Amino acid sequence: MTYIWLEFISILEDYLIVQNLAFTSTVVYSTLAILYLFMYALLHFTPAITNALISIVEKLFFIKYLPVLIFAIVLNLLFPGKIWSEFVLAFLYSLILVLIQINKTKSQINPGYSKFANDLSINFDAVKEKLFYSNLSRKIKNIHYEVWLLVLIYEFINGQDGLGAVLKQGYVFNDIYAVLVVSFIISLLIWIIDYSFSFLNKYFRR
Amino acid sequence: MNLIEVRFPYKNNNSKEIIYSDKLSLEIPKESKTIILASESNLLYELGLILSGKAPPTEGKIADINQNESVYIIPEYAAFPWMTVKENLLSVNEKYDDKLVKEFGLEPYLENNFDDESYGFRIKLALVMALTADKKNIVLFNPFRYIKTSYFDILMDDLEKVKKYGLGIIVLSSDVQKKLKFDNEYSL
Repeated sequence: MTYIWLEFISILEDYLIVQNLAFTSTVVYSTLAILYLFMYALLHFTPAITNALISIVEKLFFIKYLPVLIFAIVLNLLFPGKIWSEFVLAFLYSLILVLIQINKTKSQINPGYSKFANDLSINFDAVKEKLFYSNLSRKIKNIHYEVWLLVLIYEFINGQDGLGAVLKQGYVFNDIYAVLVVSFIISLLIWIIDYSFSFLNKYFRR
Repeated sequence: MNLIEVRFPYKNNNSKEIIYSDKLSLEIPKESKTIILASESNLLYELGLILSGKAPPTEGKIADINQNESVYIIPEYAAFPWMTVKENLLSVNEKYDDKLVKEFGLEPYLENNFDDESYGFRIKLALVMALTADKKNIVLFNPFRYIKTSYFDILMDDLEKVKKYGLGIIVLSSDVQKKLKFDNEYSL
């Protein structure tokens, strides 16, 4: 047990895991925080732009069939070693995912609601608009895992900063223990954040 | 409202065949609490459309019905769960009656969202929305199928309050609720 613990500590130190974890989680969570503020402002103040963005995403439907790996390779080739390109990729990708989610919510609305609105002479289009920005935090929580995946892929290809780069070093040095330690830390972090999101969402809804 | 030898098609719950109802003649007094019982929920659903003026019967007549004054509440689509209670009320009218909100116990929840599956709460809110919209008649589809037994008395209490505002209530139910008191009861 002591050996495992010492090995764990040495991996943390050798691969600068704490610093790299701070870097990657900053990329992921600052992107999601900016996305939340951006979408909140967009949906509350300019719903017309949201509708326009949704129709663009609808037209570019083939994007969802392109593996994220392609985007990560292309951006790494275009802007090698640039930290901002990682942020830009994470932001654009998460923006597209959220818009897809909003669009899905819109199409899933049951006609039963429109009949109820009609009975009470309610403007159903206005009611439907509200559906766009309801549970924005839940929609962002739903894409949380995908954004982590994209950022890790980007960093793995880039090989310079972040936990993705640590995974690459572990792979190059054939250090399976380091890969497992990093995977465990990432899974634990995603689980904690996911759980906290659900808890806060539930707490603030009641 | 009088239904005179009314007949209409509905889908049989088991065989999914489209069949016609028997001829129905019912006299539903205004501003009363009426329950109509039938084992076939599809028959009740179609009858609800006729009673709320959404669909005409194939045969027969309905006297004394104003289709614009009725609300058909189906618990699954009652109120809009993606909006807060306050937003729901404001969607009906620019102003809502605070007294009404207090009377139905909605005041503490005004700024809250509610779960899709809180059918009891959704029906309560839909009733207040109907009152806010100044409707005269409420048709409620199979509420006892959707709400917990512990909520039955709360619903009955709410229906009584609605009646006091001069609205007529027709509850369509596929579950017989002997303990609950209505002004009129019909079994199909």
